[in-house]
Amino acid sequence: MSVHVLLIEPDISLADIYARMMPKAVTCSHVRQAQEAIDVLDGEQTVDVVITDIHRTGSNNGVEILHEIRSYEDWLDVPILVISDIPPERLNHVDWQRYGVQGFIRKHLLTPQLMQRQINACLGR
Amino acid sequence: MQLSGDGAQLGERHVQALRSLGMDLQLPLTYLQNVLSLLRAGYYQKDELPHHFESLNTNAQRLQSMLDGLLLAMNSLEHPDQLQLTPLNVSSVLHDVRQNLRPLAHSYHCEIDFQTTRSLVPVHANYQALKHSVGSLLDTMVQSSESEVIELLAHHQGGKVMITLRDRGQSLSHATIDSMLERLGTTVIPSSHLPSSGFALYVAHNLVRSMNGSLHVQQQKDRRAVSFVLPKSEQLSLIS
Repeated sequence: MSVHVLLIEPDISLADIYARMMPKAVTCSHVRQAQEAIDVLDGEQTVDVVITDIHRTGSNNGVEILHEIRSYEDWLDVPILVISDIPPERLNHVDWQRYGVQGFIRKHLLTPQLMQRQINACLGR
Repeated sequence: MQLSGDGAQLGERHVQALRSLGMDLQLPLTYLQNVLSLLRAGYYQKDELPHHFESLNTNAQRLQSMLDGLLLAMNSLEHPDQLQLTPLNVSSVLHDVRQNLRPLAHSYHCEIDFQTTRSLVPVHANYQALKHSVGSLLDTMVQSSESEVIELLAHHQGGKVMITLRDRGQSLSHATIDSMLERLGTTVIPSSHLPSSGFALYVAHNLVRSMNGSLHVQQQKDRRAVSFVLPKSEQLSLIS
């Protein structure tokens, strides 16, 4: 069964890499900005997992995106993974639990295996 | 003899600066590590490799350029009289910077629009220092810009030459900018609540200062500009 992942990543080259790392059954929609992400979530195809950068997301930073997504009732339960090159200890002020973030992955540590495990964990597999 | 405690404070600032520096170097490093991970796992077809090696090369060059710029800035602080200043054609330096950043700008769907006054007088400067000052700021702007076009301008200004980089993007407070100009360390950007080191501003500020120039940051709502003012060369001939 196909899984639809929404990837919010401003760097096109990195987005290409992360899309490749996803399992074969995944359809990846890539956007660079918050508004584009909202448009995809609002679209016809249901989003099963959101993977978002937390820092370089154009005019909106990643925390704003989390806030936006969770402010809509329809998207309260969509699993969210955060990917970042900022060390997590620098982001202690962000309440990840409040936004229902299910995983925080350092970008430079991402491998295909880790990506697949994280997506599967979000889907309860 | 008791430890004064000053060393601990200096040490902590040093560690903070290194951590912040690590953050700024992280993007090209991340790219390199991610691509290597895919290569090791055999995720690329043979005919895809040239494209990805090209991207690898671009990011390795960006990393090298950031380190070179920082080293030059640090050396200029330690030995301010050692930077060799010669008559310099600003237009050719800016042309080189724009060419180097074209692949990055393209990947961010951004264009660098270069405009200059005809017959711009030469400045008394250093090629590498000017290249790194403008290059590091442009690199940051391309990644964070909300514009499709970043303007790179070079004009005469009161007997000197002014280089301006202009776009739309997140504004910073004067206090945040002042902190970034003077010290390579972590600053939390209030509007985003996220840490930033202002690496590019720090490098540019120190290099421009070592060329007897000045750096100015202007912001108005979501419009921002960074300008360098450089003294013109007293010599009429250019060494190309």
